[in-house]
Amino acid sequence: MKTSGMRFFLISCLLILLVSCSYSTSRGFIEQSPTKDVVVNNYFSDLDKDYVYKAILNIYKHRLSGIFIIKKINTNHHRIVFTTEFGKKIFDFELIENNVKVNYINDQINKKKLIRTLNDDFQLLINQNNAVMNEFYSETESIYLSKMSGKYYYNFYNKNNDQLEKIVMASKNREMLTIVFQDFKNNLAQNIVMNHHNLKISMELRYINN
Amino acid sequence: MRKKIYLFSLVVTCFSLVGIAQQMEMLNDESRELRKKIIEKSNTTNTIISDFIQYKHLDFLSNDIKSIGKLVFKSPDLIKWEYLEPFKYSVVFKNDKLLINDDGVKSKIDLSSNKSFKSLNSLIIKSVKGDMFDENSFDIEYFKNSKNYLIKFQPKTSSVKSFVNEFILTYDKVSLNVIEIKMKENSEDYTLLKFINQSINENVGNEVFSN
Repeated sequence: MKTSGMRFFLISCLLILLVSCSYSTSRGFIEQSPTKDVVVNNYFSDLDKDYVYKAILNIYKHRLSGIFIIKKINTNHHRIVFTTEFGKKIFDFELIENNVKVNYINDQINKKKLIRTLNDDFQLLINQNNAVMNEFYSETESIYLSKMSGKYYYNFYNKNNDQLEKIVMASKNREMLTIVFQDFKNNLAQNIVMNHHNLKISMELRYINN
Repeated sequence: MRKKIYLFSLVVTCFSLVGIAQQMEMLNDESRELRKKIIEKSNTTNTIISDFIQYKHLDFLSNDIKSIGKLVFKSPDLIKWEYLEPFKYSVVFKNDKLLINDDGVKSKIDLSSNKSFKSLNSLIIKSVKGDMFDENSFDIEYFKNSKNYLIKFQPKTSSVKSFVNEFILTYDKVSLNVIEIKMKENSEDYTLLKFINQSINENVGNEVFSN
């Protein structure tokens, strides 16, 4: 009896410790054993579709407006191009697996660190199959924890329609990046907003019928 | 198999010959005369009002990205470029300033200290008027077909070359108006502007160039 009491005490201490170390994003949600191995983001997954958005990118002091194009070329291979409204390219990236091939980037924003950040952001935006490490839920949402390139991120799905509504990349202490998907039509997010919380980088995308 | 390759080559050759027949390089005298006429026409063009259709061709896309808008030009250097579909966005080049209206969000860029924007503005005006005959800046080639003249301008300066490898201006043979501008990039990608419903030298008030 004494031993089991001690065991209970130790387990409680461990639980308290675990809760206090839990990730900021999942705080307030109820944890459960994963019900899925993989969750899917299908917003940029159709090989036959050109995903064309009117966009505003705020990159440090630069406010860049233009056309943002995403095209799936193959499995784990996407092309992402940003041009001005006149058609002049600002950048032209190819995302292959976890790497980025820069076909073109405007001199003004041609910085290694920025390219790395944009690559991480875009990988998060388009990554189709996300392996589930942990699962949480609230009354309205199912939240799945995944990991990519050593970084943890939460995929928020609406419980009613199973629609991916938000991705949050977070460390243990704070949220670093949020991507919000809104206004759904034909399984397509018409509005996408991406915000860095610790860098002056943000992006707003509005789908244009083409 | 050999027969198939032979047939394929024959078809390709036939198509190439048709292409050559459609577009012929012009002789020196003829191109000099054309150049003179276009410069004269350009010098007497005080205003242009035109609708345009822009096609952004990216080789990896299934379809070109199409946008529709309106262009207004008033000599010597006022220009309004307005996209109406599928988004609202307009820019006015005026007094060394670029006035931008991005669906109601207005901003201003001072061009007096921005060399690349200034040269872009000058390039836009020259291409819209059709007079880009600056041999220090471009290698120029002249072609014609039954309906149009085609003049290819290859930039010599690396700053322009970095974003446009070649400008191809198509002129209507009768009016000598520029009806198409194609800006080819270093890859297979390009931007094509088609001008329709053009009015030349109609009265245009300065109030048009507010944004």
